[in-house]
Amino acid sequence: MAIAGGHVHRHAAPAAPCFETSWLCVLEAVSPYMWSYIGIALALGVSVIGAAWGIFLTGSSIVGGGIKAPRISSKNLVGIIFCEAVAIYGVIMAIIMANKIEGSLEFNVGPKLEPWQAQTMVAGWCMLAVGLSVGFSNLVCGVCVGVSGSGCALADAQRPEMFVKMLIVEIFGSALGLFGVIVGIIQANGATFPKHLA
Amino acid sequence: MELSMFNVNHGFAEAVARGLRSGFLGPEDYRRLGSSDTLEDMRSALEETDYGTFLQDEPSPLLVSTISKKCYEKLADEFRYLKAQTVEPLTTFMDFIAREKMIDNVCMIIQGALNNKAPVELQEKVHPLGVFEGMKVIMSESFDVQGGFDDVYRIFLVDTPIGPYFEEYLKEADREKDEMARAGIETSQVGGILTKQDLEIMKATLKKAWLEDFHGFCESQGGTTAEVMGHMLKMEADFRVLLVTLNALNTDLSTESKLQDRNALYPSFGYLYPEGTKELRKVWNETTVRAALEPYSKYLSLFDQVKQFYESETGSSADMSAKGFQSIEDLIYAENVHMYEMAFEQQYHFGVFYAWVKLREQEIRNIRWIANMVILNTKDHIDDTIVPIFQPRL
Repeated sequence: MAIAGGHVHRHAAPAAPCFETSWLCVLEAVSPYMWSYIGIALALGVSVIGAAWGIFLTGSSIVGGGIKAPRISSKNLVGIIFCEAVAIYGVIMAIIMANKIEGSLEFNVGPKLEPWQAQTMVAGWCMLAVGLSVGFSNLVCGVCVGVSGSGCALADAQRPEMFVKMLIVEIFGSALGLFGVIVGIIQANGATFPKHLA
Repeated sequence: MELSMFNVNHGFAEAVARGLRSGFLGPEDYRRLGSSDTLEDMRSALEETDYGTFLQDEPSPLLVSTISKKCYEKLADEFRYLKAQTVEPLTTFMDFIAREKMIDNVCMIIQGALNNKAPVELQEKVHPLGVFEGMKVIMSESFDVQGGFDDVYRIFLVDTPIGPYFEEYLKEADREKDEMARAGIETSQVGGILTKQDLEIMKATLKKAWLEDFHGFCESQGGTTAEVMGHMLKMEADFRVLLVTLNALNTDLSTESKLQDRNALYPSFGYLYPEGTKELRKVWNETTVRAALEPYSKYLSLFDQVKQFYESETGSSADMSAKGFQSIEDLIYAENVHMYEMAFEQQYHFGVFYAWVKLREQEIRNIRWIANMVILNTKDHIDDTIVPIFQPRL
């Protein structure tokens, strides 16, 4: 959407692209599709980082503790499942977001902003924000459940009645990821890419 | 971040160590051991525990030393298994733990050599935890330790993990030799005529060098490891200072001239360092020790408890253990067990490995004490002497 600099149109005063004069304008100048797809990548990628982090934290403790106390290995898989759920939240959000995107005509912002262009820009920023909120809440949720799950496995190996108590801590931890998904879905409802019939 | 990144490299090893924690003997095991009449009963009592059938192949008249040795071998096996699962820096950390026993082994070989015993005869008394690579060569038939251990050091110990500690000791010894030579006193070669006291001093110097090295390593790790291990090693250093001071009180190490030697054995870190050790450097009898320990209430109370033991030792009282007097080592063991148990309360640090080895050693000591009492038929004192480990909290 950059106008090739220097050419003077016969019928309109040449508008220098806004990013040549102001840094703030960068936010407007980047294509909304760029923001949307970055948002989708963040939602999925950062959630999966959180899930993987949690799984290795818990998994190494379960594997080690299972040597002397083999009974813990089956029950503590619940902790791993809580971590995995975090990745699933990320996938769900990514699918919802990807389905919302509609293509458009070439996105060249002229001197006056068209209504469909404004709507698309808002939708793009919204997607980015959804990606950030879902991604980071799932990231910390995964780490939290991982550390708690590691402690739960080791405590369970020493004393079996500890398992149920520690599970409650893990449940509260996994609620964090759920918050991210719920807010993300509500947020994503506000992003509408206008349909172009032509 | 340590909370979330520790498990990448050390999660498995820590979980195995914590699994081994549940293998300690409990109160019923000690009761069963205490109610045995012979060592054979002890063998079958131990079969029910985590020790299992480790004494199965031993011939029937069991000796206390055999039980003790097999226990140490089991500990060494589990230690090696655990060490094999580790990666750096945990591997170096576990090596540090083993180095203390390597020092014991080498000193024992040197002492045996001075008593004209070939190293291979001492095979039985080698501590299994402290076996290192060069040792097989030293233990081989043809090796002759007689010619002074300067050669032993230069040829064999240079590349081993404890080489640097010998280097420090030899530097110190050479310096002393030079001083004495300048003062016109005849000296012998370092490996020549070492008295028993010199050998003890050498061992204590090596252990001091090891302790300082270990402390430096733990501090360099930072985080929870530095905090937990720093505390445990500082207490160890302080106990060493107390032991050296108290044991030297009744020997000639307390005379003016030899104070230097005693003071060289004080480690350069710990809760007593630097103010406490400064005061303790000048003490030479019980009153002065008490005055120096004044600001440290814990050590003062420890000292008061053992004062009776040392006073009555210079007197003539019989069976002191029956009256419940304990030497400072017994008190220190009890203090230490509590400290090591605390190390298990925190996750994601290396202190659990150190604490596990130390608690296992205490357990082996307990078993040995029980065995001795079973043989002497004085089983009523068992509850006074052994230190219970991981007693269930009500």
